[in-house]
Amino acid sequence: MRADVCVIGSGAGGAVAAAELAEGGLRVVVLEEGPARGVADATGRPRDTLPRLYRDGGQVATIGRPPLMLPLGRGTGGTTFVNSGTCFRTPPPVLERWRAEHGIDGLTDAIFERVETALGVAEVTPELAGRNAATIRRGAERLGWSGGYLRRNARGCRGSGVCAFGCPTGAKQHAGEVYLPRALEAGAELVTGARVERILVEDGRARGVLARTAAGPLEVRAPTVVVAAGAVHTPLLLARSGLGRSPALGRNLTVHPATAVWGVFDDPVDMSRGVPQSYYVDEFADRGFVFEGIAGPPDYLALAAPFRGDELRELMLAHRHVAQCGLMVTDRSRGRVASVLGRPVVRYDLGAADTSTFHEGLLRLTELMWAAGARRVILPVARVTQLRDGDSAPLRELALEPRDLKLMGFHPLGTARAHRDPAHGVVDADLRVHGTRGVHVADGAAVPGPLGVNPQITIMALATRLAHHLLNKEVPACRS
Amino acid sequence: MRAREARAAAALIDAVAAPEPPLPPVDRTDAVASFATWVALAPQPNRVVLRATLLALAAARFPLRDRAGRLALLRRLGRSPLGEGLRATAAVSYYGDAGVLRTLGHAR
Repeated sequence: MRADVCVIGSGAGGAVAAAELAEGGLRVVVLEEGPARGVADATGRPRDTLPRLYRDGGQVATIGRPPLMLPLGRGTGGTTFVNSGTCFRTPPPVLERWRAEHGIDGLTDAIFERVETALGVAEVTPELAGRNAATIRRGAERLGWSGGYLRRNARGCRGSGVCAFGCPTGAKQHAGEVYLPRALEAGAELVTGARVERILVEDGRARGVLARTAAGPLEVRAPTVVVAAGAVHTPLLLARSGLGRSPALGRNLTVHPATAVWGVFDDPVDMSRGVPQSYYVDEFADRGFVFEGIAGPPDYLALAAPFRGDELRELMLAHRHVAQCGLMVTDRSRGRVASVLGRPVVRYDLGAADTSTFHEGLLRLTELMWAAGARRVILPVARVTQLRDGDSAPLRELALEPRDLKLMGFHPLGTARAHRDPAHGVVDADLRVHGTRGVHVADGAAVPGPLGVNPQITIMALATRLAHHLLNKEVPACRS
Repeated sequence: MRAREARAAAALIDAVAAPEPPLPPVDRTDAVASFATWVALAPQPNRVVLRATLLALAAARFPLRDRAGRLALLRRLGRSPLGEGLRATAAVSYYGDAGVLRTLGHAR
């Protein structure tokens, strides 16, 4: 195959870059390792969809203290097919730091508006958000904490309550729903089931991509390659292609480590009804943590709650009375990605500062649950699994250690980070791999560091900026 | 999964989910089949460890122990990734069964 641009990956970065480049008149080939995803894949049953829609059956985990699950999508749309649909712009202080320290500029309001318009981003209504969100809101308001309903990429959402397991009504406007069809309509070609072996480079210039498919090897000849395989796989692909010799390659991994707290209430919450992630509390953002309400059906609760035996059964029988809220930390810890026997191995240890932030965050979130009226609070902490009757002392007095925590990491970022100086970044401020011509990165790997908010809009904005840079065009006013 | 692994998986699910009426027993659900699917779709290193663990449980006569005995053995795995993986897979396999969900009042 021949193309002007070969895009590797069809998630938040790849699908956006492909659409913008194809609509700009370039011949684009998109290579996606996973299968084509659609509404038919989303049955609304977490138990049955989680192992099928997530990479490695949803069992990607880090090595370190504590080990944490790293759920990644696989297939068209990438992780946007299975994320919660939360949309935040890159926070202005982050943009300012990138400008000053990394030389990254040009993420303008016009770019964010263009992305948000394409995705139909709008604030969730209280009615659609459901009672889990209302519970979180009630607690926050009683404490006078700052918060609000989240903005999301959905059109015609009916509050099915299973965003993270694929939207069964097709309401979620993920990258595979919005951008990939635009790319194809503009003439791009999509090859699914294509695992990229390496990027072909001659004399420091991209010549194309070599992939493996069920039908055999596939070579795409293209003078420009956009890598968007995600923060776990992009650095490994660059490394096995002999690219990105920066000492930063595969390092500087941040994941926004996160966990959840459950409150048990007298009145029904019915957290399986409504938009799972729909209310946030940012009162403590400057302390390095935020709360985002997150919910799901009973099997999701059984999966996540730290119980077994009689305690689990009793919780499940009372599931209608359970509310859940997530705690996400802007991590200062840094991990790394390496290849061992051809498989990615992710090392990440939670540092003392982040452990302390988790302790503070858990105490604050417990306070919120008490304020909302919880009788009992269930914690993701091995040595203190639950608190009763407003008494947070056992948690407060605990010398919390990383191994106590049950964590997940939803937002891997930074393993091929952008920096003007090749000693500190794998790609330059325009997302071109240092020391090469024609190889660019447009996914979470290029994001220089943690954002403190969900990253899909940032990744899409960076991909939009890259595409117009490659097209040598200004980003036009937003598309309706 | 082979029959020995399936019997160990059923005993594991019973210990973790601890069904009592009105919840149906494990053998009246598709929990073991779901557990097998999760194992089958796991990455190869995880799959090997999970299957080896099931065989080790079978060898330790895990299915013959009472529920309290099985839970005590599981507790010894603690909060290790293996222990949590087994717990989570068993819990979601049982509580995601359509009949169990209906009994819990979740109709969808």
